This record gives sequence, structure tokens and C-alpha cells, in this order.
Amino acid sequence: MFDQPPKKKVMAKHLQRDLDQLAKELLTMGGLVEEATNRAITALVRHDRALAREVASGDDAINDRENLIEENALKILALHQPVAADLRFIVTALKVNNDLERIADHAVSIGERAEVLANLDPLPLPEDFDKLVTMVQSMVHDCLNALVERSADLARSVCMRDDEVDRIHRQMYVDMQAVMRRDPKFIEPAINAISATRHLERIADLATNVAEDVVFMVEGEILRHNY
Amino acid sequence: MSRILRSRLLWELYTGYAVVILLTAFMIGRFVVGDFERGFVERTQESLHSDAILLRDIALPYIDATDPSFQDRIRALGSRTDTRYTVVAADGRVLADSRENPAAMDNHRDRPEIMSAATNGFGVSTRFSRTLGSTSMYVAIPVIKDGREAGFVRTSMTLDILEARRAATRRSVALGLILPVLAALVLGFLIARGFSRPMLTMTDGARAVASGDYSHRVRIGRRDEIGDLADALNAMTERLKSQIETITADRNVTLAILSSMVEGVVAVDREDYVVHVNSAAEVILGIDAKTAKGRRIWEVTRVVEVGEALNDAMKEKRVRVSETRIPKGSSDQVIQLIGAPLKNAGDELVGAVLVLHDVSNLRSLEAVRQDFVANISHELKTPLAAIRGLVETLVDDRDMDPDTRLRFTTKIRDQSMRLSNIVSDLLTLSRLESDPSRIQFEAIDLREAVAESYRAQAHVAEDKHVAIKAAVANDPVMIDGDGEALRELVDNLVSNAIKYTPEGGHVDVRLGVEGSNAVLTVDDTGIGIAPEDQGRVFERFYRVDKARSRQLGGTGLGLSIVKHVALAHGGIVSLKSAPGRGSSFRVQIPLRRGPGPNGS
Repeated sequence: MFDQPPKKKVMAKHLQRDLDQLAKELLTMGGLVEEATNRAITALVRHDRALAREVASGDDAINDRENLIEENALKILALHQPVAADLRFIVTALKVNNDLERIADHAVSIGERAEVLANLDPLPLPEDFDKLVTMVQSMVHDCLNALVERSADLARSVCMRDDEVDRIHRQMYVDMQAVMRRDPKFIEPAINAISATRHLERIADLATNVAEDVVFMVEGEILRHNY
Repeated sequence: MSRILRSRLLWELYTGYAVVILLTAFMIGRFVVGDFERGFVERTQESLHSDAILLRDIALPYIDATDPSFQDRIRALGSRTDTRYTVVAADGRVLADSRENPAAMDNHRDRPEIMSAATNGFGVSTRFSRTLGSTSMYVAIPVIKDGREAGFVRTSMTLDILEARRAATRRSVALGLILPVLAALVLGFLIARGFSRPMLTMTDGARAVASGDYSHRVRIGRRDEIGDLADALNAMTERLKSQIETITADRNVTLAILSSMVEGVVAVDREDYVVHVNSAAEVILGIDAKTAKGRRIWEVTRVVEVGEALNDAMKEKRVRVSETRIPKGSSDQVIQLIGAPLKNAGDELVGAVLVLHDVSNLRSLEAVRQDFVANISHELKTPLAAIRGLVETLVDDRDMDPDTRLRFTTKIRDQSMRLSNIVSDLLTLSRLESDPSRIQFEAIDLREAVAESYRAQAHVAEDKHVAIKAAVANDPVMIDGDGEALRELVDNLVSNAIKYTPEGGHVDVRLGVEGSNAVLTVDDTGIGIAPEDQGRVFERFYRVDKARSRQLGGTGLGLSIVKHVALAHGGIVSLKSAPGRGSSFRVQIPLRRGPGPNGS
């Protein structure tokens, strides 16, 4: 047909518009998840019950958005059959979407632990705990920044931080055991604290996954399990 | 100069001109040379013709006879001139020739000039003669004898001389033309350059202006239309410059207003691309205006509410107000977002603008006020309810035994004392708060206030088995202040310290001078204050543990009074505390300026 090239151009324009929309939804999702994570962590650190409850109430919006993003991504795949960088972006969006939703779930769990902890005796937390919290927040923040900037370097730096988080997580078990041994009244708060730490560690893992997906999107290299 | 040689206009103007000049010169040359040649040939032909007529008369007697002397005669005739003479019989036989041997010559009947002479009575021909090896002109006329054609005479002359003369003519024509042609060419070039150079200058000027150099002026020393064009260009630049300056000034004012605003301002276009971010917005959203500009808002910040507010403002085309919290340090910032659609002069939607207003202080003030009203009602109501209950019992039970009655009335007295304490504390506070100028400033030795307070509180500490120590400077610590208020300050700090220190602990009161400030510190080994409460203990009625405070007889206003007294004296209060380890309050008040301790 004579009008093949212009038609193709129109389709490319539609594809670009849909991809932009997808990126926007994904980053909005990222914003919501980051906010939820920060709220849960703040609630945990400040013993703020009201804030802890807010995390759970925001989760429905995140779940809805996950479904929306998945639908839109599949729609683009079916309609435009994109290739190369566009395809990688959509695959990444699908994976990141999934990881983000799970981060939000862990944030809700942390919120629940925070609510329980706020009602119990204050627990002497090791200094490493503050570091863990800061690192997890920075990892979530930076993996999303890497996604925005399409920066493989930033993404790699997120992956690097995961080892330290794992170390602190293991150390927390030892510390909490010592606390529980010292005074049985700390058993309940310590168990909750361990649970919260575990969720924090999982969030760090998922942030690492997101970062790996970003590296894949930017460089087309699959980083998982081999660095 | 090399640029001007590349000018297309120059060559367009000049090529045509040069072609006309050269063509004219060439044509003139051709006509002159051609004219000369034609004249020369004509003259040669005429001279040959007249020679032929003379020859005919000479040849007439011999034409029929074969006289060998005729040949000699012709040869002698020919040797005296450049002209060659030939006499041909009617049948074509050569009878005599001034250059050749007639016997050796061909039959000349077929020669063009002979044939032409036979038919027309005159024949002329110019051709290359192989016998002579040059181009010659031949003229032949018939010899008429007794009314019949008896033969022909032919005269011929070589045209070699013509070639030489033609070359000479060409040379002189060329020499004559070359100067005017060169002059015309140079003049033409100069004229063409005179047009194209101002064009180049003006193009350069226009380019410079287009690239932002509004001080550039085109200078062309011409008084014609081109000069007018340059003047118009300069006028345009001048006007452009002043308009740009006006626009820039307006823009700078607008930018200055925007960047000095306390509220953050973010503007995006219809595609969500960031158009403007002011400095307040940079701080609130934690972004950089330089990197943010030209990117999409949802890439720049992940504060979801920002993108939504802008989108909704564009979609609904009306002002939209919402609120969000942004974590900042240890506390959240409460940000009010006011989104409004941006429209151009044609009422078309071109984007949206968002105003970010930090309402954290407002919100916390609101919370404080609400707490205060709730607290004051509660604080006043509790003793009142107790008094009312006790009084009602007393009224109803006439036969109450005196011991119970005494216990009741004592309780009523205590509760009314408490009410009175609260009210007097509130009055003190409102006095300090509403009009600090009403405080009676006089020279005060802070040591006296400390000593008085120490005396009053020592026995309380003793009863509670708390060790109290006071270390006071040796010299008077003079400040300008209100004695009563300052005593209240010290009292509140010391009694608080004793109240919250368990048995066996100790309280240290120290008064000293640091630089130009009097510094009072009250340290205790009490229960301490948690970090999250440390900022709020100076609020009215704020209690870390409500039940304990009331049980200890506090009004919840003590620290608030301390803070306000310190503020009214131009001082500050700070607090360091660790839960379980104790607290340390530090009050710093500027020393009295002037002569010093002569007031004591």
C-alpha cells in the first residue's frame, strides 16, 4: 500500500504514547510503594500507631495499580508487538511491577509489627538497626531512581548494598537473642522486631531485583544470580 | 576578501556584465577585421580586373598566332609586378604565362574563373594553387576578337599578404580594445562588489542579532536604498533590543518573585514536562530545578500527590487543593498542594501550575491549640468535679462524723489550691506571652533566685531522699529581669527535677557565667524524657505520662512557664535527656549590660 510508511509512523507514535503512559503508571506505583515503605519504617521507628494503620489502608490502591499496569503492559505487547529496547522496557515493567507490589506487601507487614511494637515495652535496639532502616530506604529510593534515569550504574550500586543488609539482618538475630536472654519481658517485642527486620531484608532483596531488572532494561544483560 | 569572492550575488551580477562586455569586444573585433578583409579582397579584385583589361589589350594581337616572343613579353611584364598573367586560348590551351612554362601547363578551360568568364564575361575565383603552393585570387575576362571569343586573359595574385595584413589588423584591434575591456571588467567587478558587500555585512549583522548580540550595528557608508535598508535594520535591532530588555526585565522580576516565594511553585506543560520549578519547590520536593526542567514531572518526583494534583488540575480545569506528607528528617512535612490549570491568552489549556505550601507549622500549631483547649477543660474540670462531689456529700450527710468531715474539707482545700495553682500559672503564662513589655525589668542577682528556690525545695528533696546540690558562682550574676518570674523559673526546674528523680538520686543546680550569658543548669538522675517527647515538653499541658504527672501534683504548665520566662528575658532553654538516665535543663539568659554588679 502507498500509505504504509505514514501508517507505520502513526502506529509508532501510538506505541510511544502507550509506553510513556506505562512508564508514568509504573513510576506512580513506585512513588506509592516508596511512600508506603517510608511510612511503615517511620511508624516502626517512631512507634506511631496511626501511621502504621495508614500503610495497610493504602495497600488496596497499590494492588489495583499493579493489575492496571499488568493489563496495560500486556495490551501493548499484543497490540504493537514491540521489539528490542521497547520490548525490554515492557518486560522490565512487568517484573518491576510485581516486585513493587510485593515490597508494598512487606511494608504492610512491617506496619502491623510496628503497631504491635508500639503497644509493648520499648525495646533497646542496636545501632545497626538504624543503619538497616536507612539502607533499605535508600535502596528502594535508588532502585526507583535508577529506573527513572535508566542508570545501570546506580542500579548496580543498589545490588552491592544488599550484602550489608543481609549481614545486619543476621546480626539482628544474635542481638535480639541476647536481649531476650537478658529479660524475658523483651521476648514479645524482640520477636516482633525480628519479624520486622525480616520484612526489611525482603524489601532490600526485592529492591535488588528491581535494580537487576533495570540493568537488563538498559544493557540487555541478565544480571540475576551471577554477579 | 576571499569571502566576497564566494558571494553568489557578486558572481550573479558580475558574470552577466562580464559576458556582455567580452561579447561586445569580440563582436567589434570581428566586424573590424571582417570589414578590413572584405575591403582588401575587393581592392585586390579590382586591381586584378584592371590589370586583366590592360593585359587583354596587350594580348589581343597575339591571341590567334603562335608567336614565341609573346611568352617572353608576358614573362617580362610579369617580372615587374607581383601579379601573374596568364593568357589562355579559347580551347583552354595556355598561350603564355608570366611565371610558368605554358607548354607544361594543363588545359585551363575547366578553371572556375575561366568558365565563369566564358559565360558571364567576368570570372573570379580564390583557391589554393598547388603549382604555387599558396592561396591566390584569380580574375579572368574573355578576349573578344572580331566579335568572337578568341581566348581569355587571367590575372592572379597571391593572398599571402592578406593573411599578414589580417593578423596585423587583429593585433591593432585587440590592442585598441584591451584597455577599455579591462577597465570595464574591473569597473563592473567593483560595482558588483559594491552591491554584494553591503549584503554580506547586513547578513552578518542580521545573523549576529539573531544569535542574541543586540548591540551589533550594521555600518555601510551608502546614501542609497541599500543604506536605507541598513538603517532600517539597525532601527529594527534597536527596537528589538529595547523590547528584549523589557521582556528580560519583566521576566527577571517574575523569576525573582517566584524564587523568593516561600511557597514552592511547579509548572508543567500539557505533556507533563516540567517548565518551571522555583527554589522553594526544590527544597520541598528535594529536587534540582536544572535537571528537572524538560523532564516529566513523574520522573522528577515520586511524590504521587504532585503528579495527581497537576493532572487533575488539567483534567478538571479548576483549582484543586489537597494535602500530602513528605518525610523530612525526623518528622514529616505537611504540604498543601494547590493545583490550577494554566491557560494561554486564547483560553486554551497549556499546562498546569502547582503551589506547594508548607503547612507543617500551621498543622502543629492547630494540634497544640486543640490539645490546649482539651487539656485546659480537662485540667479545670477534674478538681472541680472532685470539689463538687465532696461538697454534695457534705451537704447531703448532715450527720457525718467530724473526722470524715475534716478529711473531706481538707481534700476540698487541696483541690481548690490546685485549681488556684493552675489558674495562677495560666495567668503567669498569659502575662508573659501577651505582653512581655509589662514585665518589670530591674537589676537582679540570679544567685538570690537560686538560693531562695534552694531553701524552699531543700526539705522536699530531703523528704524524698534525693540529694540536692547547688553550685553558684562567687560573684553576683546580674541580669535585667523580673524577680518573681525568674524565681518561678528556677522553682519550676528544681521542683520538676526533684519530682521526677526517684529515691536515692541526686539533683545538681549550677549557676555560672559563660561569655555574656548567665547559664543555669539543672541536672537530675531521674526518669528522663524520650527523644520524641523532648520537643513537646515545653508545650502547655503536655505531659509525657499524664497519670504520673498529676499524681505528683504538676499542673502541666511548669516547663511552659520556664520557656516563656527565658524567652521574655531574651534567653533560651535547651534540654538534653536520655530515658532512664536523667535530664539536663539549661537556661541561658543574657547578662545585664553596663556597670555590672553595683545593684546588689
